[in-house]
Order: sequence, then structure tokens, then C-alpha cells
Amino acid sequence: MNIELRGVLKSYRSLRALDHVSLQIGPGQIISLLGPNGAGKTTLLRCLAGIAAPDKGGIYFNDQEFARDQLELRKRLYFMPDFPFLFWEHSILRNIAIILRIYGADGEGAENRVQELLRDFDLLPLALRPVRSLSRGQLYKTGLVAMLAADREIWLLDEPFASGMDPQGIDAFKRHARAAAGRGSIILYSTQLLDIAERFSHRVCVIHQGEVRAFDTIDNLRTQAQDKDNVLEEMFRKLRETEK
Amino acid sequence: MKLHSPKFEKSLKRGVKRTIRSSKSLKAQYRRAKKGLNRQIPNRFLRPIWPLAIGLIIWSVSHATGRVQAALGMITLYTAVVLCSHVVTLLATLYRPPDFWALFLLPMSDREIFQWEFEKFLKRHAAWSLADLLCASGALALYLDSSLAHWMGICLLAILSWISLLGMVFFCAARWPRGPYQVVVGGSWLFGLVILWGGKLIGPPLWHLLDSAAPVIGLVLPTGWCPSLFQLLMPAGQWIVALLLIPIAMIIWTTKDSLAVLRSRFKFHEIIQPEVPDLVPEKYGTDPDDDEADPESHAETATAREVPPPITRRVGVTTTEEIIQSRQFMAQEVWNGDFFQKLLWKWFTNRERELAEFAFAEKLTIPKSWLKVLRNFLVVVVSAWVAQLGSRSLALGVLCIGVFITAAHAVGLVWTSGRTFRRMGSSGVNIPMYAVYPVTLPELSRVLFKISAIQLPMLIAYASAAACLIAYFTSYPLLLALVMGIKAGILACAARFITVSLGFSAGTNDSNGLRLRSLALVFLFLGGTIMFFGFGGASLFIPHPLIADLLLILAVIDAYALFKVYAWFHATNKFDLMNMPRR
Repeated sequence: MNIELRGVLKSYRSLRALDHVSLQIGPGQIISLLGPNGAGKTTLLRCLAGIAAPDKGGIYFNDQEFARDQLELRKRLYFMPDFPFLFWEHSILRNIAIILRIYGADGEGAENRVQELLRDFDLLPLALRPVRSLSRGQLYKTGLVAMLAADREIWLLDEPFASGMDPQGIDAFKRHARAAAGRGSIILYSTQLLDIAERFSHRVCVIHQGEVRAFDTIDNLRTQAQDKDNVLEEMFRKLRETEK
Repeated sequence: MKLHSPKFEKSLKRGVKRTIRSSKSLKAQYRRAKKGLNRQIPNRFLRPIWPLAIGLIIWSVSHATGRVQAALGMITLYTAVVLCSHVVTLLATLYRPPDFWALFLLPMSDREIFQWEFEKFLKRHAAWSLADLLCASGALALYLDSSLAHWMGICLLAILSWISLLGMVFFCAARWPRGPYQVVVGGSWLFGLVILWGGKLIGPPLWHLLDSAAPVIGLVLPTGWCPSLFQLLMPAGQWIVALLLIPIAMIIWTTKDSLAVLRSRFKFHEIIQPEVPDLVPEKYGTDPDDDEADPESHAETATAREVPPPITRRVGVTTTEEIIQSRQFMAQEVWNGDFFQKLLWKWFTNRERELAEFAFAEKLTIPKSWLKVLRNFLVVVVSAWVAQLGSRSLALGVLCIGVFITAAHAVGLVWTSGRTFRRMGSSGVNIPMYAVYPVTLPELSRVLFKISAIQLPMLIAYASAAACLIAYFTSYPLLLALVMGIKAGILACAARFITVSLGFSAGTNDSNGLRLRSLALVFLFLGGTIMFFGFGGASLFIPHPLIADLLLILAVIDAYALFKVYAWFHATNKFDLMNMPRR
């Protein structure tokens, strides 16, 4: 699947969160969204998920303009907010079951996927525990397991590496994300951790004050940078200077 | 009480202003932040207008009835609502303050934090009720063209009312913190809106009823004791009313003790939750001793016992794996508990069944809930009959309150939404849960509409019975009342189209800002709802049956059209499915 943003503009009153953003993302890519706080990263993810509505411009999936009532299209993408939206009163397993059913991903083989993922994320002993009794990291892992089990074509994740997950969970997530990208899925995540973005993405998208300042591979960005070892740090330094 | 020195506050403010002025980007940020604060300003302007509005209402009631009794009854009822509102606010201010954690981290004792929060309640909320009472009493004095001495007496009475009101607030908060205060406040707002809307139609009989029931209300409700003392200032006033000063003094006397109770509860302690049991799917949840047995044997045990014992332990990994591999966890809970559940389950499509699980944590127990409505209704009938032995006014008062409560219960069942519109916080905004998942408005609405539609016969039966009961006590023709009841039931069910639209709207920013689409939506809701009430109200009271039926149909079509137009706005990304949390 291809994603295309054509001149997307989104404002919150006088604040321009996205300023004529145009992007093209092909299948099989891991893309990290970078930018200072309030740059528009989360807004971009919310626009893609249909939660925020662009004021101008359009979002296209395979050249088809996105609208909220396109159920089949929406079933092909999965949005993970910074804090997973789960039913507190149910167990991890029931939450996963409800989500899989909503995505229509509860067919044959789902049980094997769920079991394998729960084991990968160290959630198997907690699988019947009510979600309200879990820690922040475990909650996020539950959301991730549901997302990975649903196995959609587009993953939209808001700050997955600031979710309280332990190294085992982060490692499992990266492994599954790489495998999914290998199968043609698009993984778009926001982060503030530059070293992770540098190592765990095919391309980085730097947003500042609602504008896309860079959208390229790390190698290409390195050729333009003076400090070849700290490409992203240098870019952020420059952004800060332009702001002043 | 000050948490810091005024000198420090002054120098801090100056320093902040200086820093902002020196930086362009800080200036821009300040302007943005100020815009958010500006949104709170309407409340600051509206609250001072409120006492004047209360005064105007009291004057209008006195003018409409030509008697002081009705106005006193009105003041009594209003003070009762303020009492409930204050109890809710006081409990929230004292025990759920947003600044608690900040204060807790400061070197402050529990007593000082209590004092801080308590003063906040007095300044921000309680002080305004004094203004309300003064304006209400002033309006009465103005209507009676009182002398200066009377004015002073009235002002003193208003202050006494306020002191006793505070005494009652502290007493209720200390002794009955779990009373139905929120329900009373919510119901009163709704009632107020109904009066505002249908004032001309229902106003005169209502004022008449209030006028005749005012002496009883003034005696029965403690908030009426102080207003009853107003009679002492009248030429034909009875001095026996002065005896009410005894219970008033007793209420005020309890204040110290109530405050001590409230203060004693204000102690920080860490809440240690008990260990949470595992939530095992039904077939597995019956045998706590056998961890590793196979699923089939568990299923047999489950059917053998009528009531499975609650599981209070952990389940082993092997059993969890069995539950996963047998797809037990994936098995959807079938709604087959009672007739209505079975009917709904048959009516739902597969997708709607999935969404029913999404929207409702537990299966709906429709017959059980309606039996409660029936039970409460029977209590109202018996109470009204017993009250009639004493006075007809009292019986009508009991009937009105009882029918109001049972009707709210019945309509609440028909309009049930479960967790459909539940919102969660995410990066500074609230997002409805359904928005994060691939769930569309039309399909989720269909689930809610079907649940409402299936309860239509019960709602109509209730509305007809309630209408007949009121007709019996007011000597209104029974047949006409029956028809009105049926129509009211249909209208309440049709209003579901509007409430569902409002439910979806509540989780969005569709009415934010002065944009064309926001204005269009505001007009849609206002216009659609006014038309619905207009057509619906007219269909109830117009005597010509054909025109009345036509108006009823128009009201239903209007509600449906409102829903469809809102659904179009929703589907075409005209607004965000998120909004800012309340400050």
C-alpha cells in the first residue's frame, strides 16, 4: 500500500500544526517521525488515522482519498496512541480478542499468533490479568500484541520507545516491525530518541513547526551533514538556531 | 490563607512579564496560552449575571401568581438544588482537587491543605449562593414594595438562609456523602430547560401547583425553613412560624461538628489494592483446584454446578496456553440470557454483535432493569395514594417527583450507551475509544438504535401508565391521557436519534471556533432539537387527531434527519474526533 499526503494543512486555532505537508511513502518502509515537542508529529499520525481532520489537502491510500466511513480502508491501518486504548475491566486476552474481531483478524491461526506474541512480550503469565492491574510498560505491550496479532498493512505508532517497555519488549517490537516491513507493511512511528531513529528506520521525516524539513534516508542526510557521526543531532541544532 | 508572600508573587509576576517581553517566541507562546485562558472568561461574566436572573425569575413568579407563597416555594426549591450542587462541589474540592498532588509535595500539613481547599470552596462557590439568595429576596421585597425596615429584615433573612444552607451543605457532605446530589442537580437543569422551553404552556399550571404546595414544601424541605420566616415580615404573618428558628439554630449548631468530620477524613494514605484475580473464560472458571485439567472436563464441571465459585487465584501458564489454543478467549459472549437478549442477538448482524461487545462490557439485562422501573412506579402510586389522604397538593407533589424519577430511569434504559462514547486521554486531548479503532458511526449507531427499539413496548407501556396515573389525580380524561402517554413513549424513543448524535458530538471538536461548519452544526442541533420539541409537544396537546399524528411523524422524521446530517458531517472529516479536556 502507498500513502500520500498532498498539501495537508491542519491548524488548532492560531497554531499551525501541519503546514502544507506533502509526503509519499511506499510499502515496506520503517519511517521515524522526528521533531521538537509540538512540531506536529502526533497530529500527522492522527490525521493518517482519521482522528484529526485536515483543514486543507488530502490523504490518499493507494490513490484513494481517505474518509472516516471507509471501513475496509480503516481496517488496513492500526493506530497506537502513546497510551493504548484498552478496556480496563477486561483481561489482556479478552482485550486482544475484542480488537482482533473488530479488525476481522480473528480467523484460523490467530490463536498461534497471539500465543507466540504473548510469549515474546513476556505477557503469557499475565494474559488473564485485568488490564487495570498492569504497569505502564505492560499496558503498552498489550496494545502492541493486539496490533501485531492484527497484522495490518500500516502501523502508526506514537512514541513507542517512550512507553515504559523493557528492553526485551523493545527488542521484540523491533524484530516484528522489521519482519512486517519485509512483508511490505509501512511502519510510521514518532520518537525523540535520535539514536534509535538512526538505527531503526529506512527513512526519517523531520518536522518542525508543522513543516517537513527533511524526508530522506540517513545515508543521504549524512552526505549533506558536516558532522557525519551525528547527523540528526546536527539537524536539530540547526533547527534550534533558525528558531532563534 | 496565602501559600506564599504577596511580595514574592509580585516579583515573580514582574520577572515573568519581563522575560516574555524580551523574547519574540515567548511572546507568541504567551499569546497562544492566553487564548486558552480567554475561553474561561465567559464563565466569569456569566456567574455574576446568574443572581440577577434568579431575582428576575422570583419576581416573575410573584407577578404571575400574585402571591408570595409561590415565590417562597420557588426559593425553597432553588436553595435545595444549590444545596445538592454545593455538596458535590465541596466533596470534589476537598477530596479530588486538581492541585492536591502539587500541594502534597509542598511542606504543608494536611490541615493547611484542607484549609486552603475549603477557603477555595467558600470563595469560588459558596459566596455566589449568598448573592443568589440576596437577589431572590430582594426581588420579593421589590414586588411587595417594602419599606426600608422590611428590606433590612429581608436581607438578614437571606443571610440567615445562606448560613443555614452552608450548615446543611457541611452536614450532608460529612454525614451523607453518597447521596443522589448529582442526579438532583442534573434533573433540575433538565426541568429548568423544559420550563424555559414550554414556559407559556406548562408555566401557569406549574405556578398554580407551586403556589398551593408551597406551605407543605416550606415545612418538609429544610431549605424552606428560612424562607418561611418571611411570613413574620408580612402584615398577616403567623408568629408560630418563628418556631422554625429552633431547627435552623440546630442546623447551624452542627456546622462545627460537620467540619471536624470533613477535616478528619482529609488524611493522605496510600491505597493498596487487593490482588486482582485472573479473569478466566467461563468454561474454565469453575474448578479452582485443577490447574492442568483439559478444557472438556472443565466444561462438564461448569454445567454440573449452577453457580460457579469466584476464582481468587492465579491460573498457570499451561492453562492459559490451553485457553488460547482452544480459542476459548476468542469465543464471543452470546447474548442468550433472557428473551430480549436472544431477540437482539438474532436481530444483530455479525458485525453488530462484535460492536455490541465493544460498546457494552456486560450483557444488557433489560427485563431486570424494567422490573426495577415497575417496582419504583408502584412505590410512587402507593405513596401518592397515601399522600392524598393528607392533602391533594402533597399527593400531586409526590406524584410529580416520583414520575420524574421513574421517567428518568425508564428513558435512561432506552438511551443506554454503555461504554460507546468512552473517552481516553492521549497527548493532551481526549479521544473517543471508537475513533482509534475501525468503527464507523453508522454501524455503532445501529447497535444503539436496535437496543432502544427493542425496549419501545416497555417504554410505551410505562409512559401510558404514568400518563393515566397523572390523569387520575388531576381529573383529566383517561383516554386522552393514554394516547398522550403512547405518543410520549414514541417521542422519547425517537429522541434517541438526537441523543446518539449528541453522544458522538461530545467526543469531537465539532462546535469549536467560529467556523462555518461549527455554526452549521450548532444551528443543526439547535434547530433540529427545537423543531423536534415543537412538533412533539404540539402532537401531544393538539386536539385534532389527524394533525396531531402528522406532527408526531414530523417530529420523528426531524430527529432522524438531524442524525443523518450529523452522520454526513462525521463521515466527511469535517471535524476532529477529539477535544480538549476540561480545565
